[in-house]
This record gives sequence, C-alpha cells and structure tokens, in this order.
Amino acid sequence: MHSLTIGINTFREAVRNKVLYSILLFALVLVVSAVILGASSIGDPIKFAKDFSLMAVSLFCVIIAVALGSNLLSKELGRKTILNILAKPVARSEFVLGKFLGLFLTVALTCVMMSLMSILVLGHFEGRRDWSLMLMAASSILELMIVVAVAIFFSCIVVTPALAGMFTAATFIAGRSSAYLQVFFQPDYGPFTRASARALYWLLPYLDRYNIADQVVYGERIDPGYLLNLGIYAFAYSCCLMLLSFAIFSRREFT
Amino acid sequence: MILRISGLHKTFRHAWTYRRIPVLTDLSLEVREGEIFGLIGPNGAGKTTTFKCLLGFLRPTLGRVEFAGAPLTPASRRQIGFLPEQPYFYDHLTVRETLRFYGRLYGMSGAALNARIEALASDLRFDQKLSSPLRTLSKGNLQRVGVAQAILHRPRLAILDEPMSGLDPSGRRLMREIILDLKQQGTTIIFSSHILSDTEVLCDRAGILTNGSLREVVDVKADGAATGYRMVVKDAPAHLADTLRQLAMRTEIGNGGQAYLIADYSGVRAATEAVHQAGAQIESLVPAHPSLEERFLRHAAQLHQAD
Repeated sequence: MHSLTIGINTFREAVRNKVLYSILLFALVLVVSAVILGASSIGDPIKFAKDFSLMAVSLFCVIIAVALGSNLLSKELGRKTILNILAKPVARSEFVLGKFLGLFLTVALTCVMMSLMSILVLGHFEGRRDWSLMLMAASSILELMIVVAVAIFFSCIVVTPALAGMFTAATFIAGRSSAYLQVFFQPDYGPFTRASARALYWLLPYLDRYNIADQVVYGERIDPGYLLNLGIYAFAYSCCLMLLSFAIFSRREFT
Repeated sequence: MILRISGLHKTFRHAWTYRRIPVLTDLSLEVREGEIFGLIGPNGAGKTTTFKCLLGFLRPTLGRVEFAGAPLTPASRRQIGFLPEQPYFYDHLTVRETLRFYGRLYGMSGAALNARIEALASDLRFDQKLSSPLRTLSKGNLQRVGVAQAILHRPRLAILDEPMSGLDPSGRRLMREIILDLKQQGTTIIFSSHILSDTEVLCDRAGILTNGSLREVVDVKADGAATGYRMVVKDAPAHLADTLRQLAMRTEIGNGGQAYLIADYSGVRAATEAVHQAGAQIESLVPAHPSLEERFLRHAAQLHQAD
C-alpha cells in the first residue's frame, strides 16, 4: 500500500516535469518526419514510416526510463526528501518498489501515448489506422519493465546519476545485442571466453526478443503465447533485480 | 519511559583514509512519557546524528534504542513524528497534496485525513496556503508544514530537529506555542537546539551534548537542583556591601538592586542580620539555580581546554 502511494507520487512528479513533454513533442516531430522520409525512400513508404515510428517510440521510452530512473533515487537523496518518507512507517523495500512502480507507470503510459500518436499520424497518411502497432507497444512496455528495474538497481548501487544512467544504457545496448554472444559459444574459442560469454548471456536481459517491429510492420501473426513468455520473463527478471535492489538499499545510510 | 538509548556509539569512516571518526560516544539517555526533552549542543555535537540513529537513517555502530519498552522498528515509527532540520518537500506538490501524501504513509485516508489537514492548517496558521505549491512558501511557512506532517497522525513521540532554526521572532514564538500545545495533548517531545533561552523556557529536562558525548542531563524545572541562594539588596551602604561581598560566592546586577549569590543557609542568616543592622532592605531572596547557559558554557569550556 505504501509502495502504491509512493508510486503515484513519483508518477505525479514525472508528469509535472516539463522535460517529459519536450521529449514527447520531439517524438511526435520524429513520427511526422518518418512519413516525410518514407515518401523519399525505396520501397513501401508506409512500411518505412511504421518501422521508423516504432523504433522512435521504443528508443524515446528507453531514453525517458534511463533519464528519469537514474535520477530518481539520487534526487531523493540530494534533496533529502527521502528523510521525510523513511521517518514514517515505510520499509526501505516499499520505498524502492514505489519508485519502480511510479517510473514504470510513467514510461508505460508514455509508450501508449506515443504509440497512439503514431497510429493517428500514420493513419492519416495511410487512410486507415493500423492498431496492430499496439502489439509493439505491449512488447515495448514489457521491455521497459526490465529497463526501469535495471535503472533502479544501478541507482541503488551508485550515487552519481550520470554513472547509473551510463550503466543502464550500457545494459540496454548489451541486452539488445546479447544474441551475438552465442558466437563465442563455438569451440573455436578458449574455455574462459566461452564460460564468460555463457555467463554474460544468462546474466544480461535478453531484450532482443522484445523487438517485434518487423513482424508488426509486415503484418505477420504474433503468437499470444510468445507475448505471454515475454511477460513472464520481464516479470521474473525485474523481480530478481528488485530483490537485489532492496538488499542493497537496506544497507545504505543517510547522513 | 518512552525512549531509552543505551550505550549508543556511531563512527564514520573517512572516505579516503578509511580512518574511524567517532561521532557519538557511549550515549545513554532516557526520555519520560509526556515531557519535553531538549538536546542542546554546539554545531557538530552529534544532535542530528542521534536523531538519525533513532529513526534508522544511520545504523548505530554499537548500542540499543528502545521505544516504549521494545526495540525501535520501522513499525514503531507509526507512533513517532519527525521534523528534519530543514524540511525538504517535493516542489511539484501543493501543501494539501503534500500532507495527503504523508498522511497516507501513516495509514490515514479519506475524510478523516482531510479534516485533520484542515484542522492542523488552521491551528498552525497556514490555512490560506493549502493550495499553494511548496516552492512558493516562505521559510516560516515551510517549517509549519514540516511540523504539520510530523504531527498529522497524533504521534506519541515527536522528534524535532532544530525547530527554531531560521525562524523570525514571531515564528519562534509560534513554534514554542506549538510545542507546548503538543505537550498538553500528551505528546512527548524531544528536540534539538542551540538556542538556550528557548530550551530553558520549553524543556522539562535538557541533555547537554558536546563532541558526541552526553555531558549532563539538567532537570530544568526542578527546585532541588539549587546550588545556593540569590539575595537582592536595595540601597546597601558601602560597609554593608563589603560585608555581603565577603559572604557571597559572587555578585551580579539583580532586578531592583545588587544580587549576592550565597552558598549556604548559614551565610544567608549572617547576610540577613547584616542587612537588618544596616537598616537596608532585602528586595528578594530565592534559591539560585545555575542557568542552562552557565552549565552549557561550562561543558563547552571544558571541551575547549581538552582540545
């Protein structure tokens, strides 16, 4: 219950932040420019515009998650607003969970809004609204759950928001590229390289699976079971990271 | 006893050399239910660190904190209110939203919470500011909101860290009234300050903290702590003044004449007879207590000598 109260407050803080609206506006400009760029590209211009828009929505939501997430705890510590909260009967884990919920709610709603904007803008040019783009939004939201958990985890470890942001962004990029690690599983590589690659492969979030833009743009059927699997994986991975965050944050002292 | 601190030690590690820096040393303290307890000390004495250890912001290196006879846990914070030295709030919220947020963290909700907020805002005289964003509030009003969030849930124990700091005279007066009102409602109050006059007026007892150690707990209101008698004599002729000076430990300017601080009752008798014989007038004769300021300065001087 406390986590929900803190989560709603975090969400309220984020939506009253003017920076969020600037990013949303920039994303809208990008979606519109995707249509213009699509007209000058080789092949189906609408497909190009859809692909570009989906990439923009996904990327901007990750940027928001990294920017807000890495600042979240350091801002509380820097402005000492955390003291007023932890002086109440609130467990530290409830505080961290609240921050996670608030940030996840913010980026999830941003993702839905940006996807709806894309559907409306693209629909205007295509002559029909392609609601299947919302499938990509659903997949992105699940991916964002992991990114937010990573951001919270790193901001529990390091005090500097820039470092937390860099680590989160690096984890996102590595997670999106983790399939390439399979190359190092081959017997051509030494045992240490193979073992390290395997360890990293299992440790990093497998975010590449969440990119279903191609299937959505080309109208391929997406198995609901696949989406369910993505959901279970995102939930389990986030839970593990949150448990680690609770443990780290409970050791922290506030001078 | 509502709060018992036993053998509290806190040391920090230097960031580079990793050397231990003691901040609190063997602090033991008991706060009685319903009293106002002042923790006084110079800057860096360890007052805020003590509060942070009580509230779990810092882990004591050694020692034990008990609230109402049981170890202090996050759940027991339901009965504790805390006002930080400088209340920090979320800029994006209005005063009402802020108090609703903190009220919910105490498990309050709905009409009861709203009514409590309205009542507190009226009592603490910031009801006109309820819809204002916090960033637009003056220091005095922020302090009032800080007090409101600390006592929203009618705590058994209110911990106030430097509640008078940065307030103008009218703000300090209001804060004194708030603290006395809280006491009347049955709340135990422990507050830190280095404004000794406020502490002396408000406190039942005060602990003098210097350099991380509790030097003395002063029973501010107790008569038994008298260390002599203070006699004020009006229009004493020169020969009487000489006699009284010989009988007194020291003299000072009193209200209505010269004041003589006499150590014991036999000295008082001798002084009274001398005054009668000289045909002078005793303006007042009262037990003398060393002021909080005197005691505080004595400890500060000892510390200065030790350094």
